[in-house]
Amino acid sequence: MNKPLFLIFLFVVPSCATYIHADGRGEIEKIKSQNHIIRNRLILIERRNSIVEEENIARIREIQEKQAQYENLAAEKKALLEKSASDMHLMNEKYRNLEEKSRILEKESSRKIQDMALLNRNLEGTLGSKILMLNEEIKKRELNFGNEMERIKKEHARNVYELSIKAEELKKTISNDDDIIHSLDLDLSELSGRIKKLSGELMNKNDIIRGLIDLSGAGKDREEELRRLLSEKEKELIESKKRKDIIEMEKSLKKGDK
Amino acid sequence: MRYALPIVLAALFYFNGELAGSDLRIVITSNLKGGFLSEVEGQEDKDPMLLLGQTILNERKTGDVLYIDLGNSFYPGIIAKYSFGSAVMDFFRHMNCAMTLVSSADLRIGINTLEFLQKGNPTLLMSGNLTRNGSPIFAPYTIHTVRDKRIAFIALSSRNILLDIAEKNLYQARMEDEILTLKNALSLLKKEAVSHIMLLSGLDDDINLALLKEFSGIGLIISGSDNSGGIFNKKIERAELYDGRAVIGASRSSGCYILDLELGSGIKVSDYRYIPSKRYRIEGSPYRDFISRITRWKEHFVSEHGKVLAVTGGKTIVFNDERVLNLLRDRFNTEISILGDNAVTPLNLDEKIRESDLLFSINTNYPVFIYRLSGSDIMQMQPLLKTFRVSGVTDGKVQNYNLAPGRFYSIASTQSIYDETQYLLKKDIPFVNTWMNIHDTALEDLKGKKVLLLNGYGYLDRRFRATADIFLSGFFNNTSVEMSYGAKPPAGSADKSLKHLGTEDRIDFTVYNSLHQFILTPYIFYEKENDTYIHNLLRGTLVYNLNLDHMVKPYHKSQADSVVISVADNRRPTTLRETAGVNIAGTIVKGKAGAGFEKEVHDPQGPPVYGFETILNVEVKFLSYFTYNLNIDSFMAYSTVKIVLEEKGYRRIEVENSMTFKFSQSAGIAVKHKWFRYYYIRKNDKYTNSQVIASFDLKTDFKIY
Repeated sequence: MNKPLFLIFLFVVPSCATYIHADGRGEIEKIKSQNHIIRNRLILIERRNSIVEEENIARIREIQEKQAQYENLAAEKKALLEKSASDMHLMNEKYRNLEEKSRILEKESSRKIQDMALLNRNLEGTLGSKILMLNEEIKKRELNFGNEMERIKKEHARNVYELSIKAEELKKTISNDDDIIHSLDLDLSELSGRIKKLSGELMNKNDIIRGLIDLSGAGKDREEELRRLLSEKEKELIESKKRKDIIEMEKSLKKGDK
Repeated sequence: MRYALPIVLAALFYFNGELAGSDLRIVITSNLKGGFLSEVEGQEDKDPMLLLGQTILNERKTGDVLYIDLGNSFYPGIIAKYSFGSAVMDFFRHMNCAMTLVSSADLRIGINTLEFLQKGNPTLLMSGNLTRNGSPIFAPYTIHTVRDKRIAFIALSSRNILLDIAEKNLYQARMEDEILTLKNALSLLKKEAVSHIMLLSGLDDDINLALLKEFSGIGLIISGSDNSGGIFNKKIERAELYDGRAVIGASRSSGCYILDLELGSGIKVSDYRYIPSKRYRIEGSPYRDFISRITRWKEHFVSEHGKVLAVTGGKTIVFNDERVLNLLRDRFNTEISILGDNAVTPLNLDEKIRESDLLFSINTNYPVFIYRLSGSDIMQMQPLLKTFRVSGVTDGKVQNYNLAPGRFYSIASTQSIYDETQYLLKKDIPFVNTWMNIHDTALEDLKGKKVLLLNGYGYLDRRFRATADIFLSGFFNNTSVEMSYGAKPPAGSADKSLKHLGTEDRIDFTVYNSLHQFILTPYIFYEKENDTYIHNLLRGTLVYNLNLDHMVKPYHKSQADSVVISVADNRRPTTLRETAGVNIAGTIVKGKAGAGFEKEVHDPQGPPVYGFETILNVEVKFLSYFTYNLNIDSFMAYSTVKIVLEEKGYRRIEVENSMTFKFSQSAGIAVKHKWFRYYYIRKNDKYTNSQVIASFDLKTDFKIY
């Protein structure tokens, strides 16, 4: 072997040693960089695309459903319109029939109204005359009642006077209590009978008055007056009863004293 | 007539140009980090992004509201990563976000991707100071009209950006000076007849305040995202200058801020408050459309990344940075691997491992770089290494050997770590880009070798590596020989004084792992003057060291000395030495002490002569360029063989002193003094060989990984 060459080889080869070295800025690195960026972009686009595709499919499905819904609704609408049209036609027919009937009824009604009006006028006339009649009757009876009441009052007053005299006499003559009592009893029974009679007359008069009022229908004022009179009579009756009670009490007192 | 005065007064008031205070309500978010959860079930009650969206939409019901995001929203949430930020852009679109400030985390998905997302989206990506070929990549400003008032928003991103290597290679993007950027923007806005100017900023508060003082045209600064600190280490949410202009900070991310402004002659902050995200019932098509969209993203994510990659075989594995570091060393066959402190979030993996687990746990998507650093570089990096996660270096040792300052070590790390290393060491470090990030590496591993699932990684240190150190020396030799009568020069040594040129070359082939080290050293010392061989030594040495301890190691050495060119009578005298002993290694001094024998095995053959070997190496470096070496090799033979009496016992000692001046990493000039003495005990015969050599040295090394 050529020794000098061998020595040179020993010197030169190791001096050419280089470290593991890669220039990051070389063209190959640029291409790799582009590749890296494009690969990431591709992944992003693929993923976004799949998302958007799914959304598209969902939207298309939604649109199809809405389209089907729309068609259903359109068909329903058409059916409803047709039904509505036929219903309208029927309704119009009915309306015309009703109109006709209404016209007929109107005619009949107006005729009847006229008849009723006439009848009413006749009734009014009849009732009016009856009311007048009843009013006169009431007046008559009131007059009789008043006279009767007057008479009863007078009689009552007289009796009261007599009774009071008798009571005075009774006071004065205690010894004749039995007779007095007896007389008082008679008086009382008489009074009671009168009271009953008056009560009965009052009730009869009340019945007559009520009957008259019912017949006349418009005699409420008269009724009120009669009621007022009746209440006065009743008050007088009550007072008579009270006097009777007083007398009975006095009688019992006299009996007791005796 | 009585109405004339009020009308005149109203007209005067109007034409004075100062309207009564008109209001603007701004909703602000920051640092959202794309934090969508991956689960669909119950998402409207649990997903923080959806809760935030409901809060924002609820706020919109109060009236006209402007929504601004301050950045760091596109990364690193798993759905955001999976969708390359699309999910976040969908969020902005449906929440009617007017603009977002591009910040450091956003750039992790790439400028290219951000530009793509911008297309067709009403939400404006903004940054005035991120440029490409001198022009802003994104919108530097925008104008918004509020009640006939034109309000400009200028955007300034943080300086702390790190682009992916691919975009670095292609885009030459850079951050411009913020003051220059602001000046340009303000001069452009003069032509736009705006009534107010606001600045969206990712810069720190001290810079924001300085900008506010310098530029009186800025009415308000809204700051967030990369804004890392406030004033006197305290985060501020509101600070005002003496003239009433304010800096607003949005530091919290789990809700939103409501900023109410009065726009009179200036901008007055009437209210600023934080609203945590809350559950609101939101109806209406935009919200439901968004829910539908985000649900699809999540379903796709689960479908694509929910597949089982591997099973743990019943045991619970903690997927953490330690495993990833070991994986990098295994996958890329490097001695050292480095990760950032928060590169991997620890995750317990029971039984099934899915790709979504990796996405959840791995917080960096920068590619892995492979590069070499010298032992001295690694030592210089110690303060930085303490902030990182490192595998392969333990107590200043790699594979159980002390870091050698001059030797290079292979390192695998992410691009961000490489950038920080390069910045610290202030030099250009060649690298190889694997074009794989941690996620890709882990995915490949789980589909194949499953290194991540191993119980121990001691085998990485037991991997054999090989180095070749080549020493070449050409020298001028002045040999002075003294020899007593009758003494024979040993094989290959000079027999008379002389001056000439020669070469001394050595290659150390070392194959080693953490425990075993084999060093094969062919050595040639050849000098010739005319036809006379002065030194004709061919030596081969095989040393085995058992690396039990860094200081003391057992060794065995086999050494054969012969001649390069056969001597007279075509003889090739050959001597064999076998020794075993202890290797003691220090920083400056190394030595061997052992016992064995020497035997002439050829031309002539002789009996074995037993003795003791002592080897000493001293290396001292000083003044950057100088190295002093002292090498002593002695063999004291005490032969008990009686067959050849005159060869009983001898002393052999070689001493070399050298001073080297290195003018480059591999070349230097050395002055050496070699002294060799051979002493025959029985006959008292001595041979001494002294040389002063001035040589030109070349040293280079290879590492075979």
